[in-house]
Amino acid sequence: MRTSLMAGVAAGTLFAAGFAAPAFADNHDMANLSVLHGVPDLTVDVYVNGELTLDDFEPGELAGPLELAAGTYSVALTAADAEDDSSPALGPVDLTLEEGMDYTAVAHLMENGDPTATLFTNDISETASGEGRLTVRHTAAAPAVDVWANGEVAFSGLANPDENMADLPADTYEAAVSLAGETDPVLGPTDVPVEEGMNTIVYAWGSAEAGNLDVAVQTVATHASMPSEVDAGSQGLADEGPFPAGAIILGAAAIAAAGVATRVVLVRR
Amino acid sequence: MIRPFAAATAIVVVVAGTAWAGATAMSPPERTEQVAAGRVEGFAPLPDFGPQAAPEAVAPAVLPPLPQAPPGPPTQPTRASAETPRLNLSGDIPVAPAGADDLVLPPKPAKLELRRVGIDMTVTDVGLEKDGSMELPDTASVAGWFRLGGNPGGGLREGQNSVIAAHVDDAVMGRGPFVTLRNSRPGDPVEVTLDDGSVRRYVVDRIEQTSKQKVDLEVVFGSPDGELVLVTCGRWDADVKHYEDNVLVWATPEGTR
Repeated sequence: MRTSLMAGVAAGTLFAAGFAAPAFADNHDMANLSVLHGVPDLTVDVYVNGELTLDDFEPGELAGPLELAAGTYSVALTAADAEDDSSPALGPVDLTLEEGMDYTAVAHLMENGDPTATLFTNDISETASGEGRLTVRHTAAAPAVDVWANGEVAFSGLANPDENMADLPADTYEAAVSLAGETDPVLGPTDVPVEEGMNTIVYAWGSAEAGNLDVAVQTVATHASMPSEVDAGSQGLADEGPFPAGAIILGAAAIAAAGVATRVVLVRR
Repeated sequence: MIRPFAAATAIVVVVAGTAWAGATAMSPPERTEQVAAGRVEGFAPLPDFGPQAAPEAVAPAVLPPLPQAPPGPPTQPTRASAETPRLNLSGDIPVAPAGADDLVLPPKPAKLELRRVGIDMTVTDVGLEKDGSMELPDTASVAGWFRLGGNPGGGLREGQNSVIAAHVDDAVMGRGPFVTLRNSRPGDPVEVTLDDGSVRRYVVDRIEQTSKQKVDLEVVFGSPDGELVLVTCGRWDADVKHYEDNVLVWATPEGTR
């Protein structure tokens, strides 16, 4: 049953998992990668391209974000006491990261309880003024679920390993998870903050059968527009002393440092 | 760069076993086959919906299932190829618990002080106006911190410049506290008190007055320099009843100069 999607969060804008052109990418040739450990009861080491990158990574922990050059990385998870990555518990898998994008690789259980890994692309496209983004991801050994926000079904029929998202007015939402079509929560309710310029990503992970279902939360910054103007006055009452227009008063330290200050001066000319 | 991770409060699992019986229905042979398939291909990125997708097209709400690897011998571990980019990690990788209770959002600016020029103001957070300009508190007595830029309290945009602006005057109170901003001098201490009571200290580095037409706001708001920039208006043009300039005070975190 996948009707009534977003019925309870009518004010929000439903988002496809697509991407607008990045407005402000700091490093166009870099990608951000976070790693979430969602396999219960298994402490692991994470190898990237054969190098031990995360030691003793515990279930429920989030690592990163790592700023990596775009490209393909080979990732393998081993038991925490392994001496190298020759006998991985999971992988190796190839992760292809594109420049300017933000990813979370999640080691988790499939619905049937087997471990797997999924690379999710985090939507960091700009949100509308006053809105933030909420993403929900089903990475638990459990059947399809409905995700509730403030007492209404916000996302219905979410199955492992799928995700859904919506842009919502910035606020704190009381989130809960039920089996699809049911009303009793199996997770939550718990408060989830949704802030302007931020994608709050909520994961259901663990195993229903083992009784260790849990929630993980990650936040990533979205692209944001800078103001076009700062219009900070209207009455003409500000004192106008001898301050030459276009002037910059520099401290001695700033001149000595030469870096930032000089750049700003150059920008002005 | 340490970034806060959210966290998690113990979520109570209200229903465990019986309601989830469906999860256990998978037969052992099926599991074996899944393992044999390696699921290595399953790591492929989820397909994207186009941004232009109609709401109806989005309504199914779930992404297509990940492709399964064809049955075959277990995939052998692969070595990084020559084209594989080098891992170039500097410093420790931040790792933190990600439970719902672990999520702690950074404190926000609540008060701004430049004692030498008599500024002691409440700060609130602001965004963008519909016309793309910076939103500001109506009253000149309150300053606005731009929440989509850097935050003196840290957070996801840590390291980006933080900007606090206020009207230099308004129709109700007349001249506001920021009228003295232009009297700041390099070396003046600046204090930002956050809403958790902690204080971030800065030192004025330079004061600038530039035409609004020429001021580069992408530098002001977007530079990854971790500076605090205080902004107001100056140079009234009586003919058009409009301030022509921005007055900007740039301050660096104490201890970094």
